[in-house]
Amino acid sequence: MDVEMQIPTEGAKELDLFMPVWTPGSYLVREYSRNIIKIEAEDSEGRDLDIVKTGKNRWHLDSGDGETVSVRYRLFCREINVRANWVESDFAVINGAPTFLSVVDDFQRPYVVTVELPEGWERTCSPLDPAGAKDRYLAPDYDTLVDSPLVAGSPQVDRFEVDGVSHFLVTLGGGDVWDNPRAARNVQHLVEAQRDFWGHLPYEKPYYFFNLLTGSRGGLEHRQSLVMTADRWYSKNRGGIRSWLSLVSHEFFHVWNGKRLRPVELGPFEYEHENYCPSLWVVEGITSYYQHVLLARAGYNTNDQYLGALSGSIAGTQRTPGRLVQSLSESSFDAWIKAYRRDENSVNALFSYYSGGAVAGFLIDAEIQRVSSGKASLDDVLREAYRRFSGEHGYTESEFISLASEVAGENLGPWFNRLVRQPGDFDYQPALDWFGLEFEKPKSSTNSGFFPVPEEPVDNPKGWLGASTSGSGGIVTVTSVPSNTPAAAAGLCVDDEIIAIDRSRVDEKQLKRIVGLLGPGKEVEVLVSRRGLLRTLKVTLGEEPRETWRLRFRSDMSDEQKARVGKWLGSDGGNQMN
Amino acid sequence: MPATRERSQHNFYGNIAGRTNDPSVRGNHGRGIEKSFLFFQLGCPSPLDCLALYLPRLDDIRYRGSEKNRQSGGPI
Repeated sequence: MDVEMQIPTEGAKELDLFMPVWTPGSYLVREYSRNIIKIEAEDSEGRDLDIVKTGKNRWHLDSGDGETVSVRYRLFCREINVRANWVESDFAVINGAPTFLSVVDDFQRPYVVTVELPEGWERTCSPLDPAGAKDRYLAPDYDTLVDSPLVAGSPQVDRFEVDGVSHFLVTLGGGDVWDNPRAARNVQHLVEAQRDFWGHLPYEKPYYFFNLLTGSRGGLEHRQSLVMTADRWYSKNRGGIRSWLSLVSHEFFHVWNGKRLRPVELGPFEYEHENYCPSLWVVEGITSYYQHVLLARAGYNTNDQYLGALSGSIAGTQRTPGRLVQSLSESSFDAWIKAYRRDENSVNALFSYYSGGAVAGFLIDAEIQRVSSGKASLDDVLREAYRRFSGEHGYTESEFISLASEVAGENLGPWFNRLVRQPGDFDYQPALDWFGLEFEKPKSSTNSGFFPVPEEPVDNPKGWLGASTSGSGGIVTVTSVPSNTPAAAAGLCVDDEIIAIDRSRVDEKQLKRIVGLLGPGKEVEVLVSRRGLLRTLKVTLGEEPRETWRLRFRSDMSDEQKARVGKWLGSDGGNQMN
Repeated sequence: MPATRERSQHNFYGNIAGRTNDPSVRGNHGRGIEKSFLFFQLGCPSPLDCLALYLPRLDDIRYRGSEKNRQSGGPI
């Protein structure tokens, strides 16, 4: 993509330009300037100006005496996701941070953007204000410019109104599969449900849902739009639509929680460096909690389906040893170097502020209800937080916690410290008791009916290594070694190729089968190839953990508990589907 | 209209080619400092240009490769 920028010099003889290194909402330095292929500058008379690179994302130029200078650059655009640029034969997805340079220390100014479309391309779609001509837009400041993705081409566009405000579902890649009008009807219902939750829509301008059907799954929030990637085949059944709507639900919840109600650290943004924030568990975790709660309240999830989603987050939490070494607050702060830079040890070192934060959201909600005897909930905390902190300042993590205490009517500071500021296991029982929930009883883990061994009792528990593996062409490779497992104790490493157990050659299927049959407590020899050298490890097999962390409603729920669930998840519908 | 609603966006059409001292423009930090507009023009290339953009990148990858490919010495 070719970009030409015309910069008013305002009398400056020299200008320093920069390009953002990251984009808000996605906390990783992405070095967008690596996509600049060529850059050049000229003055208003068309004379070449020297432009010198002074840093990885900075340039210096002598601007001369003219009122304006022009800078032209070519961008490589072939990353189709929610935070980069993609240009191909018939459409383009353009994000702000990887596209727009500006003037160092002088970037908060109004911008005009004009898009020249290739022949045959119909239109552009942008949440920016139109600027009096087709494909011409105005951003009042750099934050808005960067926060406004743009789609060009011939997308499917369906419009609906909520409270008199236009909303557009803009879909690329739907092919003959995606039913955009139907999807738009469901999004409208979800928007109305979230409007009801917060009490109002916080905008009057049109809102855009950019729906890129690439097959992958992702999303990024903006003030006046969201961008998501998804699977076009989601359109074909109720489960798929529900899954797609849960993504919409998450990103749209950020209209309030994240983009307007925000931590102090997330605005105004510093575009050239990391912006450290301990409260992403509020921004993303609590949003992850409500994305499913509000789907249930909107009638898209039955209560059991909702419990399935919550159970998945709890199971993920409990199977992540990282929860024992990293708090949610630390996970938030270190997102730049850990959550967004996962490696083979992340399971042991990282506690996701998304899934862990969603579980924390559930526990916070229940605790506030419990200590206030049902008079208040996390709903009330968020609405009051929005009222107090959605202005220029934002909230600190401590202010959010203090507000929760205030709404609950009891000092929850120490409780919050244990929940989000210290690593360790969550205490689920008070929340389960409040709603009348319980975890399903562990299923038996035996070899019964699996592979009869005459001399062994049929209910012999299965053995367990605890490592994750992948198999291809008969080769078994270790992909993850969670701490506190037999595999970790024996020194098994990621990328080890497991060749044999007790001198029996194994593929992936045989490995699981044989380890299961040998049973817990058995010491076995595991032959591995590590970087091409054979070695034998002695492993004492453990017993496979039986907990499923699957929640269910207790059969002896009281009327009070049933009433609380009704208030929490709405009527047990699940039939809403347009 | 709830008090928390954002103010309506101003219509800048008549001022598009000039300058603004509207203090409500956030870039002015509410101080009414006069700032000039910065203009961008984005040219989405034709399909042929797109191809031209893409091919050099492939060459680049083939030539330098990822760390893994450098080790194996083979093209991707």
